[in-house]
Amino acid sequence: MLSVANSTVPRVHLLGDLKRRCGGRKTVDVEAETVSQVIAALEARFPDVRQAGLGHMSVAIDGEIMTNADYVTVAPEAEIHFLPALSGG
Amino acid sequence: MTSTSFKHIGQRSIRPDGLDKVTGKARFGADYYLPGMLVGVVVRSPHPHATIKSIDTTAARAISGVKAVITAQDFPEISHEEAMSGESVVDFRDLSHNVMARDKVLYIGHPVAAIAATSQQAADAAAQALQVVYEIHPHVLNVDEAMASDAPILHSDLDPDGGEPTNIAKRHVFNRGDTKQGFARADVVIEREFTTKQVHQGYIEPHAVVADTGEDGRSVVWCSSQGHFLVRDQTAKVLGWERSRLKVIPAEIGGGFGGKTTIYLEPLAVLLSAKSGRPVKMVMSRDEVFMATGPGPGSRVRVKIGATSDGKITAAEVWMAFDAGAFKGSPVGAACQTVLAPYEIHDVSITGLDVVINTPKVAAYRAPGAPIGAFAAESVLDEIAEALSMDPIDLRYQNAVEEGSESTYGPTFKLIGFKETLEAIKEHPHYKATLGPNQGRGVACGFWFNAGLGSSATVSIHEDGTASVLTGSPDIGGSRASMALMAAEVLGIDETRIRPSIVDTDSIGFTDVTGGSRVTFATGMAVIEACGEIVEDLRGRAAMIWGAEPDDVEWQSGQAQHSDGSKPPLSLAEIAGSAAKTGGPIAATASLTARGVGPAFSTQVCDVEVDPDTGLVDILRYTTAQDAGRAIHPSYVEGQMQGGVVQGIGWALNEEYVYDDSGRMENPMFLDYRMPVASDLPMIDTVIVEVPNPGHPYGVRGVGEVGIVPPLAAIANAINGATDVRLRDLPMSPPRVVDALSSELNGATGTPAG
Repeated sequence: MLSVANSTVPRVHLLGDLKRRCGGRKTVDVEAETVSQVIAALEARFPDVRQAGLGHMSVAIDGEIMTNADYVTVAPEAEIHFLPALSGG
Repeated sequence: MTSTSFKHIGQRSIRPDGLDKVTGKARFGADYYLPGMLVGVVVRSPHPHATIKSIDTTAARAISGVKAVITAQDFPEISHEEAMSGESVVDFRDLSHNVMARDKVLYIGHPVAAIAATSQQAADAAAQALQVVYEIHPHVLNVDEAMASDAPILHSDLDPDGGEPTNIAKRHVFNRGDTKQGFARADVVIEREFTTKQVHQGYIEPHAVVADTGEDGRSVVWCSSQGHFLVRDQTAKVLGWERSRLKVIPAEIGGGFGGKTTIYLEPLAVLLSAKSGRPVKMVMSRDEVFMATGPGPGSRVRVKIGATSDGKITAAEVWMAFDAGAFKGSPVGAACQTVLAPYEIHDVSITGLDVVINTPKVAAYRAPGAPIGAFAAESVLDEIAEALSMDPIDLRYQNAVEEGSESTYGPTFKLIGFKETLEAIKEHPHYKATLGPNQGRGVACGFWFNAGLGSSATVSIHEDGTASVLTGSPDIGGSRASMALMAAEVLGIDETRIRPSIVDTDSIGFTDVTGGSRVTFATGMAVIEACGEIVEDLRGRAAMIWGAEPDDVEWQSGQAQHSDGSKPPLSLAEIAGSAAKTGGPIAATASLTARGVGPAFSTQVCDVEVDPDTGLVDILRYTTAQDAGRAIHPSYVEGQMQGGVVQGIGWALNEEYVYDDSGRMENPMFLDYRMPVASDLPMIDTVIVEVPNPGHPYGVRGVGEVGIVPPLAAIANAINGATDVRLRDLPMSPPRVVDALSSELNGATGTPAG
């Protein structure tokens, strides 16, 4: 579920392709407690986001980049970014 | 926490695997022999782009000694399925088609069949006898050719913009702010274009595997890799097997640098063994390594940066096209995120294109993508400093990110040590040393994320008070020594009493690849956690012996001590010696997904001398400063820093894949693919900066990758210092340097952006 912008729920920051798929918004506030709920909320509001494959992207929560983070808890006021998955050498 | 509070961490202990390696006793991938073992070879495409019309194996099978022949028909067809595999996303259909070509071959060296025979001669003869009919198509060998309007298309299903198929597999875009306004605020704006060639990871040990498939349909695989769990899982996926049918035993690894985070030979050897009923060994030749395993990508990059007269960066635009080789998946996404990451820039636009071409599929190579982006961005920054008559470190320092800075790729940085690396280089005697004629100095910086991922560790205490530490992380940089040191720190015993081992996929919990600079951080975290459980157990046993409560027992310096001092201390060995009476064996296992990753920054300075007649660039002096968070074993941190720099020097000065018009690599051997050797290099000086990562019990950040990010630009900037000429095309080999100097004399001024 999405809410109006406020500072007590996680905020997803959008750049580039994701920003375009979310109607040009720079940020979207979501009522969610886990990363998978964040993804579900975004996809429900912006169906075009499904094409972005968020489930295969890395996610940064308050600056820390993670993979396989579906069930990681996101705190209220968390800053969330979705990023292309990396390949380290 | 300061380093002085540690007893073991920070010590330069002898590496546990060192003696076996210097005496030749260590077993690498090709060192395994089994009774009745067959020789396996791969039949590879001689064409860079062709449709396979037919394969006739009749003549090959008829040769005496041939026991098995496999082609695409022996592999299950897999639909496109992208999944996380280690750090990266893998499309298993592409992986399978790279292991064995289906209807099309996409590069010279692409496997079309594999053969197992009783001798190398029989296998080679069968490979010659195999009949493959091809329909040849035009090919493309770089991003420019691949993106041309009339380019031949490699795959019919790549259309990122939803139109006609193209060779552009993916477009990454990172935009923030308004670059037009940002550039309007600038007093100086510089835009340049750069190119780089494909380079190989250059590991000395070729890919090698032995597979032994039994009557029960289960297979044991011996191979060197950067992750034997990855080998197991990817091989199982490609073969359509359950993972439990495969046990992968890790060999020592003779270098990987990212290139051994995927599979090539393993499914072939397993299948040949299953078909023949005998063990099969496959070892790539050097030219196979070059022509069929992942190089790093080639690229074309444009960078535009604006700054005010006092050195504040106001805006930046970056456009990058990376070749991915035959299948999608270049590291251009990572390059987009790293290219400007060291700097706080609010108006930024970064675009990256992933482009397929008719060369081997690229593989990860140490901080994948980051060196290419840094080569361009750090060169332009150097020009801006020059234009503003600013010290190049001062320019970078003024714009450097710190805790709380918003990165150009989005997230806000936590505690980082970038500015400390800049300070370390500026204060280093190297930076103040006098230069002579034809000599120049260059600086550059780099960033890498580092990774966490999954790791497991099992720690056992033996009755004599010694310990075993088992992990599933192949040791490519001395990590066994670091595991022992961290275990020693928690347990309080000397690291020489701890034996660290890397065990097979059936003997430890799942562990992700040795990549992403993650092993000392993440697997170390598992070791620390397991050792912590052991300590709790030991406290409980001491309490049992004393008739006290566990809370009355403290663990200090490898001893249980009663909090009121009423009992003489019990050493770990004493408690272990009575383990059978206090609850049985003492062991603990930890499996975790490591969170709390701390990114890494590096600042480097390089002095070169350029021979104006021959174009030879001699590296006179090189110093690198890097934030390690905490150096568990300083020698191996320094080794990683030096290794990264040396690979960067090779990339900058000499290394490149040279293709002829037919798409064949002309230099698939170390004689012609010129990597730096010891006599080419000065001692690489290191400065370990320690800004502890708050996300790790001991403050560890990864150290393996970021060292390769700055050298390309640092050397280019140094060459400019020596010659007043900027080179923007890699490698900066003697002929290119001579050409550039000649062009300068003739009035040209480098490559302006298109």
